[in-house]
Amino acid sequence: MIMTLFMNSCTKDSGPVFIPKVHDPNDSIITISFAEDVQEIFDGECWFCHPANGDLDLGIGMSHAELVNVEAANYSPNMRVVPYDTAASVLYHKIIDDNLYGLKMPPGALNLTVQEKAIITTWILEGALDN
Amino acid sequence: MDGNMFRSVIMATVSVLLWSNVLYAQDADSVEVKQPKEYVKQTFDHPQLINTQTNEVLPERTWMFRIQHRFGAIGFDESFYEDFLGLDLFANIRLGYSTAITKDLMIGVGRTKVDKIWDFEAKYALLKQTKDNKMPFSLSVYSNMGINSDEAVEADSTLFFADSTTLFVPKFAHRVNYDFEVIIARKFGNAASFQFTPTFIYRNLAEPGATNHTFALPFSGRVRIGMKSFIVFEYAYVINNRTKDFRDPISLGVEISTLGHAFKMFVSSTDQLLGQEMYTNSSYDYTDGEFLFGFNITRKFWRKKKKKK
Repeated sequence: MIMTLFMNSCTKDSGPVFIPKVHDPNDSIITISFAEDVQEIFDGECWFCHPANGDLDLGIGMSHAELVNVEAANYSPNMRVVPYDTAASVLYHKIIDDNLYGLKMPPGALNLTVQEKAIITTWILEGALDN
Repeated sequence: MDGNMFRSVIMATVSVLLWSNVLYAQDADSVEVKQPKEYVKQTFDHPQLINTQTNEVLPERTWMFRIQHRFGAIGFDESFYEDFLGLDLFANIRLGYSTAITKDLMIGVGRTKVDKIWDFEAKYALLKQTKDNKMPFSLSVYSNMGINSDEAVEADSTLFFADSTTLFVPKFAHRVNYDFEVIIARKFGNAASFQFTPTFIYRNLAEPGATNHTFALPFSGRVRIGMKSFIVFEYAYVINNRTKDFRDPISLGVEISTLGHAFKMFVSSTDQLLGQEMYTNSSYDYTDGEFLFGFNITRKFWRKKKKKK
């Protein structure tokens, strides 16, 4: 078993990168559910530092209203989330850690997986719906 | 570095270990009367300083339990008291168990909270500083294999390898990362000990835009300030894979050490606990006043010597 472990423990790869499918705002196909997909990420990775009594409440029932079309407290007039527009959404820049808006989120050793980032990105591209 | 070169590095390390034993044996055979070497003891009291390994291995018949805890990052602003020194924020923790196999070899296993990493480590004391200064430093080799046991990334039609054309297919190997270190340490009387640790990190799955291998040059040490207390520090210069605004990890603290215990309390710019993660991710921006508090608790236990019948 140990030999098998070592035999399968070496490779040289790089990635993954997320390349979103081009989304037409007129397209009615929605792949991401805010309540089931995005909120699950907030509950698991974000709510600890963004609880109900904080500046930004990412709890169930509050997170959508606190994010979409709301100015970012430290980066006004930029919006936390702009539907269909990742480049204009502070949240997107925070999770991909491109240093545009200070600390990455979540900070430090904790990171979202590429799949979690993909869910949030796709949710924004699909209109940041409260579905 | 391709697979062949990686295997070569491992083979070279193993060869050094094996040949060192052969050379010692030959040396012992060729000298009829030999004074026992007096080695410098307790360059560092324990196998770990703050985040980096020391040259020390556990003595025979001992095992060790370790708790490494890092609070959330704060700054010199209201977060300092509102988040109560970072206690209210997300923390990273590692629990570790290590045991001596021979007088110069120890192995261990640990579990880290972030990414749910299980890691397996081995350290071998290759050279020891002698009191007559014929061997002016100690040298140990250390290796750690970390396995991420967090939820797997699933294949998806929107996920690609870094070439942006090949669909990403997750493998077990992507969870595995390696840390190889050569630890060169010297004790300067009872006043201070310093060490230099050339480090090679290999990540099977590199971040897009980064190479699989990362080199780092940590420098660390401790300076005595009391009978059993020391100032401890670490700084590591990461040579490659430095993304924009990359910050090297740096830590400063105090150590209170006894034969069996070590307590270390410090401020640090990193909450990563393994070399594989620490040298491949930027630390907090200490130039902007960001830092965190942390502590390590180490406890050694001794097994009784078996009585001869």
